[in-house]
Parts: sequence; C-alpha cells; structure tokens
Amino acid sequence: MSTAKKIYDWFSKRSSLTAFLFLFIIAGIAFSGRSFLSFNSLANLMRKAASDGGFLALGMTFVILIGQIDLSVGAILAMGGVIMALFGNTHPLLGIFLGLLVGAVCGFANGFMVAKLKISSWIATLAMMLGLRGIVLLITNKKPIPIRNDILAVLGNATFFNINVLVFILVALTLICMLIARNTKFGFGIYAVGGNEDAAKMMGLSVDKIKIGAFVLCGTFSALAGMLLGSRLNTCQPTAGDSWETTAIAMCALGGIKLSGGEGKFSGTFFGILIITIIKTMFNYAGFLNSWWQNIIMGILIMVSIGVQSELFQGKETKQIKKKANA
Amino acid sequence: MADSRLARVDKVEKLRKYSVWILLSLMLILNLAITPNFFSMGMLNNLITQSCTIILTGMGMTMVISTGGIDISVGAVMALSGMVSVKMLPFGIIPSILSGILASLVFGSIAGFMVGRLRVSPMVVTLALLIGVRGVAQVLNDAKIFYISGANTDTYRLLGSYKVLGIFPVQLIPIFLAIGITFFILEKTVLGRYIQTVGDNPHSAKLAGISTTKTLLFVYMASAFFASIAGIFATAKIGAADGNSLGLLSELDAIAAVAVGGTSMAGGRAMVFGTVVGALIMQLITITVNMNNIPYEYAQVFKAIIIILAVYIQREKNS
Repeated sequence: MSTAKKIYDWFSKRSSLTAFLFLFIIAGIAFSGRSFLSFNSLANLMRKAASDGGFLALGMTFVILIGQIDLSVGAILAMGGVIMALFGNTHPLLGIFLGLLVGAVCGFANGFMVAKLKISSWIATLAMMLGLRGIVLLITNKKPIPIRNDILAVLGNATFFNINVLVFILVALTLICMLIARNTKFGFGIYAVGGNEDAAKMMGLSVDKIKIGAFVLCGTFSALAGMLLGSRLNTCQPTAGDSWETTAIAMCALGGIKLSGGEGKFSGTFFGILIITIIKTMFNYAGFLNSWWQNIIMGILIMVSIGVQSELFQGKETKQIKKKANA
Repeated sequence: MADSRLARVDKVEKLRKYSVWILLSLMLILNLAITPNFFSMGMLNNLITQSCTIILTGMGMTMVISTGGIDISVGAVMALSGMVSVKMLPFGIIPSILSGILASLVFGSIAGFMVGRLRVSPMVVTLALLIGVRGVAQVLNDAKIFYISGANTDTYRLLGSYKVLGIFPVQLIPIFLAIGITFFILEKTVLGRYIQTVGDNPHSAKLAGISTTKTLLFVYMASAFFASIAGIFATAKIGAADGNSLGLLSELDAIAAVAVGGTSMAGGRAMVFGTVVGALIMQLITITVNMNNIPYEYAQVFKAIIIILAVYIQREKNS
C-alpha cells in the first residue's frame, strides 16, 4: 500500500477530524487578515467549545451509544447551576457536591424510567425536560441567581498559560471518556447494548445497569456544564441551556456517533464539538452574513454528513460485508 | 378461581385501554369544581382555538410515530409556512396558502427521502431540518416579525377569526378535517395498513412487497402538510408571522399528545382519537393553570407527571 493511500485511509476513517481540519484551514485563510490563527483567538475558540455545550455533547454520547436519547440535558444544566449557586454561598464544596448530585439523580431518574419502566427515552427525557425546567423556574422565581462565593466566582474564569480552565477540563474529560469506552467493562457494555440489546443480554451483561449508568453519566456531565457556565458568568440563569439539547445532538451527529447506537468514538464527539464551534466562530468573524444563516448552514452540514454515512453512499465492500452479515 | 382472575386481568386491560378517557374526564371534573365559568361557550371556543396547532401537528406525528419514526421539525415547518404564506399574500389568498403548503411539502419530501431511501435515522434528519428550516423562516424576513398588511389582509385574517355558524371558531374546520382524513387513511385504506406494518416490522413489510420508501415518503410529507396548515392558521390568528417563535417547541407538545394517546413510540400501533384526547388533556392543563392564576411553571411540572403516568400505564408488556 502506497503512503498516499495510507494517509488517505487514515483521514477517511476519521471523517470528523478531517472535516474540522478542512474548516480550520478555510477559516485560517479567510480570516488571516484578522489574526484568526493567533493564540488568543484559538484559545477563545476552545473556551467557547467548552462552555457552549461541549460537556453536554460528551454526556449525550454515552446515551446515544446505548441507542437512546436525552432531551433533558439543557434543563439539568440549568438545575445544576442554580443548585450550586444557591448552596455554594454557604460553602463552595457543598454547592459543587449538591450540584453534581442533582445531575446524577436526574440522570438516574431518566435511566430508571427507560430501563426499568420501559418508557421510550424520547418520552421519559421529554417529561424530565418539561418538569425540571418548571421546577428550576419555580425555585428561582424566574430570576438569575448571582454567585456570591469568591472561590466559585473565580473557578470558571481561572486561566493556565492564558487558556481558560474549562478547556483543560473538557480535554481531560474527553480523555477519561475515551479510556472508559476502550478499557472498561462498562465501556464494552455500552457498545454491546447499543449494537444489539438482546445479544448483550444473552452475553450475560446487566443491560439495565449499563443503561442507567449511561444516563447518570449524562446527567452528571450536564450538571457540571451548568456549574462551570454559571461560575464563568458569575450568575446562574434559570433559562440557561434552553434548546441546547439540539446543539448537543448535532455535535454528536457531526462527530460520527451513529444515532441508532453502538458505533462512534468520543474523539469523534470532541471534533464534532469543535466543528460546530468553528462554524459559529466563522459566522461571527464574517459579519456580513446574518447570524441566522448559520442555522441553515448547520442544517445542511448535518444533512450532508449523515447522507454520506448512509447506505447509498457507502462503498461496495461495506455493502457486501453487510449482506454477508445479514445472510 | 381461574375465571375470576381472568376477569380481573380483563378489567385491568379495559382500564388501561380507557385510561386516557378517564384522565380527560378527571380533568373535566376537576375544572368544573375549581375553575370559574368553566362550563361556558367562551371556554369551549378557547379550547378549540388553542388546541388547533397541537391537534394538527399531532395528527401528522401520529402517522410518523406509527411507522417507528419521529418528526421534530414540525415547529420549524409551521414557522416557514406562516412566513411564506404572508410573504405571498399580495398575490392573492389562494396562491399565498398554496405556496406556504408547497414550501413545507418540499422539506417534508426531503425528510421522507432521507429516511425512506437513504435509511438515515429520522431523528437526525428532522433535527437538521429543525435547525435549517427555522433558519430559512428567519432569513425570509431578517428575523423580524412580519405583520400582515396590504391586499387580501382581511381574507387571510378570517382564517383566524371567522365564526362557523356564527358560534364556533374557524379552527374547528381544520381540526375535524385533519382528524377525519388521518383516521380514514390509517384505519380504512391499504396505505394505513402499510404504514402500521412498516412501523411494526420494516423487514417483513419489505418481504410482503410493501414499498417502505414510498410509505415513509408519504408519511413525512403528510406530517409537513399538517404542520403547514397549523402554521397558516396560527399566523392568521396572531395577525403576524414570526419566524423566531412561531411553533417553537410545538413538536414536543405533539409528541407528548401522541404518547399520552397510547400510540406506541416503537411504531406499529396508531391511536388517532387517543392523540386527540391527549392533545385536549395537555391543553386543559394549560387552561386550568391560566384560569386559576397559578404560575405556568406548575403546568409544566404537571404535564411531565401526566406524560410519564399515561405512558407507563399504557405500555405494552414484553415490548
């Protein structure tokens, strides 16, 4: 195999990385006059990726990998932030602990409804989204909660080497997720359940526990996202994260996570997050296009990416393998 | 003894079958007790006017979900059809409505093609449409609200304010037509059998010679069609087309109504009248809260509980 073919194969296997690099180069050339490639603007790009839905997408990946969906991530984000702001004023650790706990409990409730009560994840998490958002609005009386604790107020704005701490947390969490997916029994179980639930059951995996585990992780990540967002802005909005679930799903879809479950990598989600962020950044830079054009472009981009992944455009080899597998 | 146990199972079975109706009656009784002036013509007209959107989108959603799919783009399609129809209003009322429907059908057919032919997950396709179509609706008027004015305004506004027989709001007509057409298609035609078979088992449907591609194409176009009608009526009622907020989150209302109504989310079982009752329950909750000066957030929490409860009671065993 020639080197060119090897390189081509390496990139075609990592389609979301390739797409990101492609967009990155375009942005770099188009906005070279406005120092897009400077350290500051790249650090800014990464910070946006981390604060605007990156953590939600990581959590969502667990849920999508087991073949389910979680619409409540935005509401859990708001809940996590508000709980941290309310209790963090007495002691920061109490706020952080309770915030994460609320996220985990909401995730557990989602998982319980899906795994034990056998309610479709669409409906269960839709109800969670409605109900939780209502509760958040009720306990905050629709007003933003300011963070008065010094430590919590500084946490989200801390920088190392001029890079926001959120970026390090996002990268670290991505690496941890990759490790979980590759090296643990739980990670193996996620792919097994998403690929074929009946087969996973026959293999002796405790399918219910894996499902609940995935939802708990998703809930915890969402709450963490809300806490970090609140800490960065020094205030927790009860309407934070509204309709961010679509952004998170789009990030996963662009990251090559198969929406019916069982296939996809966390590294893919990471680049999916970056793709959405860089598109938004490009629109900010461009300026001459109305910002709502970015919705149209994003829609088309998702369409194209899933169209390419679909059966019609798959190579002959894959088709033959699938035929054999079916027969 | 076995007999009595069978009878009990039968009773539970019946209870489950009629659970939405019981829930609706409970809601009505509750309202009669606590809501002032509940039993009045004005309240009935309110209910009809407000539930138009959710019933229309719910009808399309019932078809889509009974094929095992989902369509979360209905809210965006509503905004698009409202915006297009108002933009085309100077050319006459008929071209205006037709262009609104046509624009929506284009996107419905894209969804149907992607799901039916390319076998892409319906959620991602309609998610992309949800984002993209909303963008189109916004771009059409620079994300500003487009107030109805100029030629044909009065005719268009009649779609929101006309009274049938001088009493009932005009929204009654699309509601009845949508329910009738959907019921007829799903229960009385071969196509309806196809739709539910595709949802039950796509593989065996294919073996039976059913064209899943065409069936799915029809279903998603029907959903877009109903959504566009809902969008036009909502726009006429408000008197302005708002690309940003028209139909926002109405896909969730529709999904909730369908789920409460007993249509299986896995596909294969469509309950048209269940969806209607589900929609009425959702709307009654809103009315109850509004009429009694309770903060709307309680309605959200209450709706969430009702959704989970209804779906839990009606879920099929071993599914």
